[in-house]
Amino acid sequence: MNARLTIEYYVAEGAVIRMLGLVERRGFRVTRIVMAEQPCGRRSTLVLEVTAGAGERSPDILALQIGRLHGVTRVTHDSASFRNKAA
Amino acid sequence: MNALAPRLHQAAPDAAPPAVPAGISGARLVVEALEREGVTHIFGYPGGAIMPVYDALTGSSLTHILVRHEQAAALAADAWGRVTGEPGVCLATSGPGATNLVTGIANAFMDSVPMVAITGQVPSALMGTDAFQEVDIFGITLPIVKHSYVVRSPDDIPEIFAEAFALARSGRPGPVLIDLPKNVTQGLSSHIGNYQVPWFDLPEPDGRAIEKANRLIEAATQPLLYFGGGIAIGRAERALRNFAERTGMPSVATLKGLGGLPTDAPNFLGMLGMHGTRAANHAVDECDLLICVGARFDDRATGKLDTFAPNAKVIHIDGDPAEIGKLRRPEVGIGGDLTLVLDRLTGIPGDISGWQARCADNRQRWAARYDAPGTGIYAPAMLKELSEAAGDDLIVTCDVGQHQMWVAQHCRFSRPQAHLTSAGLGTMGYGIPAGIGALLAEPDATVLTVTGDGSIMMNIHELATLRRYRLPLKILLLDNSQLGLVRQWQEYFFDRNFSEIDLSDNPDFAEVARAFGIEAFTVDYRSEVPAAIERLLSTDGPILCHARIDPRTSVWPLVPPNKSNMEMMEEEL
Repeated sequence: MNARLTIEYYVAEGAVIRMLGLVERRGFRVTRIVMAEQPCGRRSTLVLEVTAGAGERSPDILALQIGRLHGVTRVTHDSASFRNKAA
Repeated sequence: MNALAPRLHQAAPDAAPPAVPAGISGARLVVEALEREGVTHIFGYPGGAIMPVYDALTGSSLTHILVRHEQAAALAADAWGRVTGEPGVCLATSGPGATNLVTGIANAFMDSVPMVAITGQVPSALMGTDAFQEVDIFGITLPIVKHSYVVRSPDDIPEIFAEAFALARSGRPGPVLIDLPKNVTQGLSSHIGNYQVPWFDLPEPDGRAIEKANRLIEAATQPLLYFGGGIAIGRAERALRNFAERTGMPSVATLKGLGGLPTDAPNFLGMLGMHGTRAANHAVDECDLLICVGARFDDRATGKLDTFAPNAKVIHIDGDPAEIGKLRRPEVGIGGDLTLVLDRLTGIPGDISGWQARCADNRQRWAARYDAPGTGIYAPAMLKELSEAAGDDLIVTCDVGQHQMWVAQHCRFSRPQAHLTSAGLGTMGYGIPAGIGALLAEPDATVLTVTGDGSIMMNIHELATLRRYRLPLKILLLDNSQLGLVRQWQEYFFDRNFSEIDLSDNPDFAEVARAFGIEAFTVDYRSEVPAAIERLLSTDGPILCHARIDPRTSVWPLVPPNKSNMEMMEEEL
């Protein structure tokens, strides 16, 4: 299962590595990252393209898990259209 | 997309930012922040990088409990958090002090316990230079904290601490780490801006989902309530008990759920899963509706997941919406405060008297037996008698191994806070530090630590802490001179290839305890058990009962790994 996650978050020390670590620990592999540099304390957006590793891991659940991180304000994911595009 | 996540409000109701003048040291700000949060006890161990905070502690209202290893500080803080519902606080220096906290932080994370862990750090200018006792504790703990901070200025301390405590205790609780470089605690504040104390709440339960759940309950003929640690976390036992009583449905608990309903409650079938009761596992297998409350379909509870509750529709209720559908997709998922949800589940099943009777018959038919042959101490019987004699104010803290499962199976619990166990991480060495934390959190309780001869050695130095503070912890050490649960698995799943389980060269534990200044005695025969229980419960100070048990005794039933819960192994009599 591939998915594209768009994560809105407040820039803070460790914020990006916290999100990337969570994605990998929850059984997904990050295949593409798009992010813009922002000063600390500002809101920014991180776009991740991920693919599920072994087992049936749901991007819906992954989005909720990222969404509960402190400093993350919004997570959307677009697995269907991304799949179509990838195909 | 994220509507179910806990919501952050900019300020708590009635919360006003504290007025903090400039020119205050960072260490003083730390102490004042802790006092503002209502902290009374801190568990810790001093060292170089955290010394400014220890300097500021003297003269404060905070009571510091000096443990003998930082892991014990974190585990005691964990127990404090479980008993009080408020964050337990642990404090350590940089480097090894900080890394020694890691197991305790992970323990709190796995079991969703509110905790604030404070670590010293080398001065900011030295960070990243491999300085003496420098370690990246922020990076090390990223996967096992709810959130973490490196404080960069004394001015940030009040706001960061307020946010850390709000995070630790809100939504699904968990540990929060605050790393304090030494120059920050030594430095003086210059300008502390206004800030608002954050406040988080759980999402409002979805009314349509509740309606749908009520319809499922009304239509069910064999409903089953399956509850877990979320009941203790959410302080939802009143709502759970009311729900169980008004619906009359049979119920099962996870390891962490024990105490949510009293052990002797009508229709309660005990723990489910790997070492659960046969009655509980059969009920799960047969039910047509499974109402999961504050549990997460953990592998120890479900066995082989695709065989779990095969005939059931599922209603999953959890404070953390990210748990809903993670492992089992429910027919209805409801995120939110468990009390609110349970109180709104007003649907009543039809006539389930036949189902209730079958479950009750199974409970009776497969009830544990305590008539083991021989004259040696039978641990399950001793635990049952001890917990019954101790009464309702008992808190049991467990270590990890066979004794942990025997406690879960055979002790009587009257409330969720009566059973403190390292369920998610399975931390050997949890028992005594947790007993210390529990006793300080609830001084009037009878606190009993049940440990094994493997586990006690992992934090045996904390007997010194018991002695120092004269904490009347009662310790029951079940000694089978081996790592019993590993032995059991090697016996049944590794062709009896017994590898590195022998602990027959253990020290004389009673002598060790006495060397720490703890009253202790040893028993070998079941005829000695009544007097041992009497002595344990009547002694005012800390006491250790060293009970030598048969090393061949195993924990039954047992579901083999990756098997269905219906494939329980039983003792061959």
